[in-house]
Amino acid sequence: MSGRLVVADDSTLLREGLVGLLERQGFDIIGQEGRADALTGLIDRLAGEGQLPEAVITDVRMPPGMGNDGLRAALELKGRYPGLGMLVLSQYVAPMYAQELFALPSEAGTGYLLKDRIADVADFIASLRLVLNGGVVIDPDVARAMMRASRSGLGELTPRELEVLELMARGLSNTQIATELYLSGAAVAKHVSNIFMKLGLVPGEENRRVRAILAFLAEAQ
Amino acid sequence: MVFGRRKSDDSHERQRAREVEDLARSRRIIVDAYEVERRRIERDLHDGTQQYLVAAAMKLGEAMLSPAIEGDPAVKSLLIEARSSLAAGLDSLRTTVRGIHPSILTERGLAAALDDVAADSAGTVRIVCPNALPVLPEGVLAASYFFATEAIANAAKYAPGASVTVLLAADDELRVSVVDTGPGGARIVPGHGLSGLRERLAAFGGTMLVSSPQGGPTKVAAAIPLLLLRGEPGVAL
Repeated sequence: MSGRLVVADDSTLLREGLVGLLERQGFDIIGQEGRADALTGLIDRLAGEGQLPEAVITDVRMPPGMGNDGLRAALELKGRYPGLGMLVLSQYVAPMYAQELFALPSEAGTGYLLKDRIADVADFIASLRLVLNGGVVIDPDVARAMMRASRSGLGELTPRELEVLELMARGLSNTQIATELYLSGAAVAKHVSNIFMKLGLVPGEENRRVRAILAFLAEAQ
Repeated sequence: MVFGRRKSDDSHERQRAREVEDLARSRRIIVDAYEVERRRIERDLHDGTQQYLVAAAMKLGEAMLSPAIEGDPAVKSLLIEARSSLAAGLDSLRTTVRGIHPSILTERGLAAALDDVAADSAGTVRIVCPNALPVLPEGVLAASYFFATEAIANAAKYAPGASVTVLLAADDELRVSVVDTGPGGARIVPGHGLSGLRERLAAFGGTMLVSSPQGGPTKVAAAIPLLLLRGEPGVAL
């Protein structure tokens, strides 16, 4: 199965490396850009032709401003094309950027990963597929940083519940959390329902739950 | 006679104002010169070294997908080790680069940039900024950030597990104080971390004080000149 993708990164070395890797993994790269403004231009043009890609993979720091232009473009595109999946690759752990990305309501998949994660190709491809399927992916380091940044809003949680929350924010299912923390499924379910109660969140199916948690963390700043 | 004296007072004041302005300008040149150099280094690391390392990690990762590797456990373990060395290298490079000049600093200001540092540090670090800070010249912003991150790192190194509070406030100077609940006893040793911080601040008129009685707490406080020129907005009211 192939996904139609657009890749944006100002480093030719990285962009072409990533495009090659993705093509060899069976993805269809319909465009690549090295500037944030060119990226939004390309997506607008493709959308105009009825050729909107399924997802965009973009770097954060790009020309013209060499600041967070790529992230700005990602937010803009997500606002304009609700069905467009977005995977942001960053060189840095910047919880504030992740918060902006996940605070946006979205129907399509969203991800924020450190570039280093591409090194684990199988994991990276799995994350990309998750985003293509409408899921949410967040880098473990970034999730941890978001948790720390929101600590003040999480005062009522026990240390164990904080551990569970962090794994939930990373998108792990109850079963995966149980394996990771050596707990029974029932124990995890109990922690999860306590967390939702304490944070005043409505429990939902797993994909929605990640979004709810990330939005909560983004707001608790 | 009276008229004449007033006139000379006026010109004396103008003269003084000019001197203050000249001093601020020349200090800005000094502080910006640091910044230009640091940014160049940061750009080189980001555009060069980091990209090569990530590209290498990507290629290595793809090579590791090859089924041929399963047949050769020695090669497989070498590749795994190479990958983890690369990951460690990227991690340490990231820390270095962020210490130089993060983009969030220019985009969102000192408090936001330090919030990110706090969020990413292993211990408890709290950033307190009760009032909005004035818009600071680039070099002053960078020097303050550098001071705060070094002081936080210093606290993490010498008072592991202690909680750290960073207070930011501005009046006619920017005041950054970093307090940790560690055991105290910190001293400024020539050639070491704190002394380097003090020298860098002194180059453009900043001062740094350390108070660290045995038993703690340790407070490292900097008073950093805003280097605002006449007509530039100071503290927002």
